[in-house]
Amino acid sequence: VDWWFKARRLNTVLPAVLAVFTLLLLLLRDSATALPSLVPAFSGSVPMALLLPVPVCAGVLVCLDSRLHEAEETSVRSPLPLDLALVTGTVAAVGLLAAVVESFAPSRAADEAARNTAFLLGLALVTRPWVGMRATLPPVAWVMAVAVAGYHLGHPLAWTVIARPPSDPPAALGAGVALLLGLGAQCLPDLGGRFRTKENV
Amino acid sequence: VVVVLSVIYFRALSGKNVHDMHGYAPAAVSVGLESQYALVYAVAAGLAAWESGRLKADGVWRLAPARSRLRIAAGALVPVWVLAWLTLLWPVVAWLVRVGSAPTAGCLPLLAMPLVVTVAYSVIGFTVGAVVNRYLAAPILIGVVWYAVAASWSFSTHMWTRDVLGQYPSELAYGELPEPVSLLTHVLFVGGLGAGVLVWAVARLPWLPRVALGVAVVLAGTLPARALADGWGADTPLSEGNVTVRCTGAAPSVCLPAISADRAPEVRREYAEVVADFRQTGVTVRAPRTITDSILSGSSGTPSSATVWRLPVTGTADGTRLRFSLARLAVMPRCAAPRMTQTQRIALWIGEVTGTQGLARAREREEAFTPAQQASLRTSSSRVTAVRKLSAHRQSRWYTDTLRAACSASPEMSG
Repeated sequence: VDWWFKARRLNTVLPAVLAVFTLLLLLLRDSATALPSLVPAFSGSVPMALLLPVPVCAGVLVCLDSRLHEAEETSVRSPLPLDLALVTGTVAAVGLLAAVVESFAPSRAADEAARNTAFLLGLALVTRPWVGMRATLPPVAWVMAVAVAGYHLGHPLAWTVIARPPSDPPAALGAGVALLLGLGAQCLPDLGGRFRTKENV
Repeated sequence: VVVVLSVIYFRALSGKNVHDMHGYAPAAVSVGLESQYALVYAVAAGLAAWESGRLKADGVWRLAPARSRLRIAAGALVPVWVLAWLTLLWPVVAWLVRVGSAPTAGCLPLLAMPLVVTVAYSVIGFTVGAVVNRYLAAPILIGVVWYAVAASWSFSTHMWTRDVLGQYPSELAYGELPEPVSLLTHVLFVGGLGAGVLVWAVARLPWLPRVALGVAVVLAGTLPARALADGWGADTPLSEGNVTVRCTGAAPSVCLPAISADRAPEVRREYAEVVADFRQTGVTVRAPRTITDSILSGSSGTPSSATVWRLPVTGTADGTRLRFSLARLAVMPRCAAPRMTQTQRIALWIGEVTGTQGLARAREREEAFTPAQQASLRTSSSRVTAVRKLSAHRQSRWYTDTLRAACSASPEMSG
């Protein structure tokens, strides 16, 4: 566990992205802006907080990508369970930090932070076996797609997941499924994503 | 992703009315670009960070340089620029084709601005990618640049942001062109940021003067840009009427854009009929110096005056509607805040005199929302019917009295 912790740079990268996440959550709260309406019917007021999980997802991927190849491929104990714990632990940490922020500065952004992080992180991890580290990009692409086409008459559509109200059961289910699929994808072998040789990405 | 989002954007915009552009190329260019700015800048910054990180990971900067480092960086950025520029330009081409117009010289400044700003964003991205882990830098830059540029359009508290982040904030209407200074602010601001980080990255100086120099360059670009844009608010400077206008005749001379120049005789004929109609009721219309097409005042809607009448000609195929506009310009009250009841009666009377009753009544009905306003409209209608039965002399006196009452400050009801 000790070398895994340091090899994954959990002592630097992850605390940094979580700190940035908490700071921005405090600063932004529920600031939202109407982005240029493309079809007026499909535009909505897009909260800045939708982008908050993006650095967290990228941070987790950077951590997962940072490894000791020789040691990990020859070790008796596979580091896979630890990696899965890293993913779920990050989502839990986001939820905890958001709950702390919520306790003295309530905002909708804090209520839905854990769900949105789970969904976008799951999305990134699902694509990772195929595209390698380019998997840091699907979360931000998803947020952009939501802003462009995710609202109808100001109401977030069901497929967006991250734009739905915090108490929406299908959205919570969607986020859970995405995270589980992401964890499942972690157990897959490399499917052309070459995520073991990051120099080639 | 770039292609898919571009297609969504573009399809979303394609509902806009092509006919409103009347083949005016800069309008097509502005609409084509509008959907692309935020996406293109985000992609330029993000991809540049990615490429820059790749060079760093491959150890390029540790090699003994055979080529200058700037040339190596530029070599890595050229594909980014090409992709960004293509993404920027293809909707413009598509819109020009739809509108059926070749690009004119007037389009060039508006096209050049985003091309330059794209390069500036890529320089910023490249420098960030050289410092921060690219897997973190790329998605964060994409998100931040995209949101900032897209949202600058709707910030109501800091209006100047819409004039500096590279997104030209308005769709051009027929005959409108951006003032050069309103494009310069974007280039200065983003270009200043890009030049600042570039200086910081390449200057061979100890760290303190290097940082100071970089900050100085950034401030030299951003502060003037902000100062220029600060007073504009939502009204980014535009010039209007940048099209060929043909004037015919005198007293009044009829000035129409080339696309509607063939309708000058029709306008003159309707004008003569309106003047004749009013003369029969004893009202003399004071001739304007010029009658012109309101499309030439773009979206600002410069109001008509006693000497210059502006009415919609282009896009108004219906002769009755032309006559209705001319009749209103001829005799409606011109004071700043005319009283409602009198204005309404004059408007209905104009309709009766010039044979445009249908349009006049429809217009007043649209403006009567409350039951009280609707009751007032009924009273006005019956009053005007009575007035129309009077002799020409008495009608003209009624008109003069009502006009005076409409423009008087004291509450006075005139029959």
